[in-house]
Amino acid sequence: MQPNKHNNNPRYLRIRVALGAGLLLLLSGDLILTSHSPVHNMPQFGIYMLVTLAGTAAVLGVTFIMGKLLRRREDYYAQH
Amino acid sequence: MRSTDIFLVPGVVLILTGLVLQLMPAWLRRTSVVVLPPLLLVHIWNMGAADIHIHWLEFQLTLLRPGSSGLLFASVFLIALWGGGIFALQDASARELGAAFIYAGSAIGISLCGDWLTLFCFWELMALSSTLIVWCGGQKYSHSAGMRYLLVHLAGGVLLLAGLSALAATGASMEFGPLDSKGYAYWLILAGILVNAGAPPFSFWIADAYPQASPSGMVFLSAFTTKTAVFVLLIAFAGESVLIPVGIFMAFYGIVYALLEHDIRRILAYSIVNQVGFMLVAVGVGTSATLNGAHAHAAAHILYKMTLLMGAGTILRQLGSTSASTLGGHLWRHMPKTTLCVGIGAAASMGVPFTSSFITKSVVLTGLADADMPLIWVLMLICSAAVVFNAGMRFPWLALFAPSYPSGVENTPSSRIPDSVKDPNGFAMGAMAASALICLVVGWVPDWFYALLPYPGSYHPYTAGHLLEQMQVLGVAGSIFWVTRHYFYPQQGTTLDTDWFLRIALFKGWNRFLQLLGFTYNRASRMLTNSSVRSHMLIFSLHGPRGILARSWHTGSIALWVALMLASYILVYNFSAPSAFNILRRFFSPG
Repeated sequence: MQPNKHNNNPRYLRIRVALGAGLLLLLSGDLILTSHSPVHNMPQFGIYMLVTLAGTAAVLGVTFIMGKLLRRREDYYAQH
Repeated sequence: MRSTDIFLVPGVVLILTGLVLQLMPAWLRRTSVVVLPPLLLVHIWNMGAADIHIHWLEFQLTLLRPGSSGLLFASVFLIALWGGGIFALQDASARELGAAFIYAGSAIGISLCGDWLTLFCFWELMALSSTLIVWCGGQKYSHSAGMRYLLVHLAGGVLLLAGLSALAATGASMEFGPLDSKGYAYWLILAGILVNAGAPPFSFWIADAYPQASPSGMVFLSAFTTKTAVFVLLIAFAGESVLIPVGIFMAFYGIVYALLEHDIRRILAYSIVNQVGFMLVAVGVGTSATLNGAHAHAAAHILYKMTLLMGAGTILRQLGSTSASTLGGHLWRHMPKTTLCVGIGAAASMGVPFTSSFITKSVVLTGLADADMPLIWVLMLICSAAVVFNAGMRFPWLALFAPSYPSGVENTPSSRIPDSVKDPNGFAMGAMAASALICLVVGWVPDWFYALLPYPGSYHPYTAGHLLEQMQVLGVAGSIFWVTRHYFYPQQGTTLDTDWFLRIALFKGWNRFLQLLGFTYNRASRMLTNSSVRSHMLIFSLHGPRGILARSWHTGSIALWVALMLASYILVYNFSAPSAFNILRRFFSPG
C-alpha cells in the first residue's frame, strides 16, 4: 500500500463530493424509474448499488487475506 | 467431394498458409496477413450450408459443417487474426506469424467442423501452434512458461482423447453436438475441454504463459484457446450444472489474482480467466437467453481484449517493460491515441453504455434473473462490477495514468520518460484503432449483432431502467476504486498459485523420489555385496587352503571318524528299522 498525499487536497475533496452526489442522483433515479425487483425475493430499491457495494467490499477483503497468505518475493520461483 | 473442395475449408486454408508463410518474401507475407482473413470472412458467409467430408483410416471426417454458433465464432476469430496480424507486422517474426495462422486456422477449424475426431485433430494442432507462439515471445521465461503451457495442454488433450475413445467404444455417434449420456466418456471430454478453458485447478496457465509471449503473440493467444473451449462447451455441454460453480470460481479467482498483480499484461491475463468464468456460468445455466449471452459476450470479449492487449503490447514495445512499478508516470501524455483506444477497450470491458460489453453482459444478467437464480445473479453482478478493479479502471490507471510511486515522488515529470516513447505508427495504430472502433460499433448498433446469435430472443439493452442499473453498478465500483486506488498499488512480488505444485512440489517430489531411489539402490547393493562377500568368506573358510574341509587328515583320525559313522549308522538303523533288528536277534538267540 502507498501513502496518499492527496487525501486532504481540496480538489480531491471536490471530486469525492461530486462522486457522492452522482451516486445519490442514481439512487434517486432508481427509486423513480425502477418498477420491479430484477430477481424474485429481492428488494426493488437500490439493489444494484447494495450488491455492488457489499460484493466489492467482500472481494477486496478476500484479496487482502489472499495477499497476506500467498504473496512471495518476485524471485520466489527462481530461488526454488 | 472433389479433391479441391478441401481448399474451401477456411481452417485448412489458414493452416496451409501458415506452413508456407515463413518461406514467402516479406511483401507477400504482409499481403497475406492483410488480405487473407477478410477474404475468408466473406467466404464463410457465402459458402452455404453444404458439408465437406474426407475419408481417412476408415473414418469419415466432417471438415466443414457450418452452424450459426460456429459462423459467429469463426467470424470473430478471423477478425482477431486480422487485427492481431496487422498489429504483429511491426516486429513479429515470420515464424510467429506462421504459427498464428496455424493457430487461428485450428480454432476456426474447430468452430466449423462436424465431428469429434476432426475437432481433436484441430485441438492438438492448436495446442502445438500456440506453444510455438509462446516460445517466440523472446521474454525472460518464454521457454519455461511455454513448456508448462504445453504440458498442461497435452494433459488436456489426453483427457479429451480418452473421452473420445470411450465415446467411440460405446458405439455413440461421433458427430459434434450435444452429448447425451453422462458416462465416463462425457466427464473425460468435459475435463479435457475445461483444461483449455482455464478451469481450476489449471487456471494458472493463462497468466503464466500469455504474458511471456510477444506483444502481438498475446493478442493471438487471448483470442483463440479459451474461446474455442467456450464454443465447444456451448455446443456440447449447454446446461451442464457443474459449469456453474466452476465458472463462479474462475470469475472470482481472476478478480482476486488480478488485484494482487503488478504486471499489466498479467492483470489482463487474469481478466481473461474472470470473463471466461462469467461465460461458463452462462453456459451452465443453459437457458436460451444465457446461451445467447455467452455467445455474444465471448465475441465481445475477444474484441475488447484485443484492444487492451494491443495497448499493453505498445507499452511493452516502447518501454521494454509491463511492470507497473517500472512504467514511469503519466504515460498518457506521450501516447494520447493509445490512451484513447485503451480507454475505449476498458470502457467496453466494464460494460459502459454504448460499448460492446454493455449489450452482451446485459443479455447474460437478464437471462440469469429470468432463470430465477438469485444467488448466481448476485455473484455475477459482483463479478461484472469487479471488472473495474482489473481490466476496467485499474489496468489503464496503472499503465497510463498512475504516478511513479517506487521513486517516492508522485506526479513524476513526464520528462523522465524518453522522448522516443510515443504512439505507434502505421499498421499497429490502425489495428488498435480498428478494434476499438468495432467495440463502439457493436455497442451503438446492437441489433445486427443480436441477429447473429443462434437462439431466438429479443433484447433491448437501451431502456432507461437498464441504463440506470448499469450506471449504479459502475458508479459504486468506480467510486470505490477512485477512493482506494492508492491502497491497491501493487508491490513487486509473485502470488502463489496451483502452478506451485507443478513448479515446486512436483519438482521437489521428483528429486525426493530420485534420492529415495538412489538410497534404496545403495542399500540393496551394499546388502547384496555384503552377503555375497560373507558367503564367499564362509566357503573360503571351509574349502580354502586352510579350510577345515580341505585339510589332509591323519589315517588314524579318519579310521576313528569312519568307526563313529558306522556306529551311528547302526544306532539309527536300530531305531528306524526294528523289524530287521529283530530278525538279527532271532538269528543269534539260542533256541
